[in-house]
Amino acid sequence: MILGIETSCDETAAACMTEDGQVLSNVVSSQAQLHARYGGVVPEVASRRHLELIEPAVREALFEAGTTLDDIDEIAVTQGPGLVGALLVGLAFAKGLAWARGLPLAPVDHLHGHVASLFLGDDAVEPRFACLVATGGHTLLLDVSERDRFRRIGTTLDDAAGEAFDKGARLLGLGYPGGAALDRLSRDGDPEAYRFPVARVPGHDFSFSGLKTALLYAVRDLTAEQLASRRADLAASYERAIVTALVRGLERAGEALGVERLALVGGVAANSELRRQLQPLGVSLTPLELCTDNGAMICSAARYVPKLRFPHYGDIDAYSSA
Amino acid sequence: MRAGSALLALDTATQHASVALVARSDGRVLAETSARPISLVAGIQRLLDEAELGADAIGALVAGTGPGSYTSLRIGLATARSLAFSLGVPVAGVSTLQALAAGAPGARPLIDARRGEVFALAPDPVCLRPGDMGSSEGEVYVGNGAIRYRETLEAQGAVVPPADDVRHRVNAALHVTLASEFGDASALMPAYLRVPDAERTRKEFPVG
Ligand SMILES: [Zn+2]
Repeated sequence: MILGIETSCDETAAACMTEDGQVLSNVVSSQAQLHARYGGVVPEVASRRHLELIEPAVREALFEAGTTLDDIDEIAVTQGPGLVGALLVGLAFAKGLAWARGLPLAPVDHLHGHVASLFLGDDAVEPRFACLVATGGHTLLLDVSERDRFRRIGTTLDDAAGEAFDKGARLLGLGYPGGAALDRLSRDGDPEAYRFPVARVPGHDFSFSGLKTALLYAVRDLTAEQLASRRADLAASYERAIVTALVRGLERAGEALGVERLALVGGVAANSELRRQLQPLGVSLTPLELCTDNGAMICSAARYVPKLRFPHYGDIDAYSSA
Repeated sequence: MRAGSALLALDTATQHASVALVARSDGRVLAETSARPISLVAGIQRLLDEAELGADAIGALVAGTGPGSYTSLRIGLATARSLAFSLGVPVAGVSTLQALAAGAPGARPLIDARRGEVFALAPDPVCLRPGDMGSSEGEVYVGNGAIRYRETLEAQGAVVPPADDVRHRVNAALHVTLASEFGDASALMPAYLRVPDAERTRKEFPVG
């Protein structure tokens, strides 16, 4: 059995999974409420909280799986990319467990983890496929050629898609993190009410800063009452622009790579408009419960990376960028 | 040596993590070394190898709780929590400043707090600028904060021993003599002494 640990951003997560990919537990202690008061994830605050939550999360994951550390054969942990101070809490905890129990350690790339969330369950997606990773920190197009091999073909030039949702939500007075609130509000709005720009960037990259500015201008000129009456339309139109950019980017990546299979992973994959548009196209979508950062996806990816025995994991460090 | 007969002490408040293995029966230091915080478990393995012991010899842990570099401290405490959990042993936290003071009788310990500040005992741990120490003539300062702010301190008439003086070094073996309450690892928290910047500068955001 694999015990997976994930602390790259603001979720303290641990999971237990069998070698053949059966998820026995998947505990996610979200810090979203904690960071809401700062209007964004604060690295130092996140790191402090990870230290408090990591052991309870691991204990809970073992308990829910009906198991103990004695039955664990391997420790998997996110090594990066992410917030280094946050990653180091999970990495140090994982090294301690592996060393004390004489277990191998599998350092996992966080993006590989998101991709590997597609390799679970009955509908496991087989490479090769084009994959859009859309989260609060990343908007990447990947060419996934094997379960353990992917190549980046596009990224965002400014904000990540999840960030664009959250910033838009804040401009609309929906608080932070407001991506989910914006998604809910959009259902009552007219996505054609406003014509927000969908940036055309050469190659396979994305850009969302122009869109954010357009929303800012649209909101700035409204009185409080006007904003109240148009909020849903603004949200729906803004969401439509982001979704259009993502769908178009993913389709174009598939065409450029000459692959039929397309997939979407990451927190933004929980967006209902995006799912509604991609489902009819036959795009594989991460199950809702695996969209945000979690330990199960780290366990899943660990099956395809080399396991390190002590002393080979002794010196490994966290890394911040992809 | 029997299972559980050794204490493992570690401190990662400074860039040189200090680790020591001490006999529980008579307090004898069995082995000690320093390591980069990121390579802490490798350092612990070296100690066990040197003492010809296995991990099961560790019967309790003592961990330095700082203050010091936050990231580095968290590596140490995450490791201590993880070892306490996986080895099933109790752990005691010890103030790194108190341990430095114990290793340098008569001297005042200073730990670099970055941004022009140091952590000091007054008599409780505080964070202040070295220029505001209010030193008396001939007062001796030790620790990486003393080395870093040697000029400022000496200008106040204080004395800072040469950088290679052992009193500047955090020595985990000393922590063992100061450890009193052994218990659950969940009580083990870093002595931060400073709130995150974001807390000081934060505006009220509506919570969504
Ligand atoms: Zn993620």
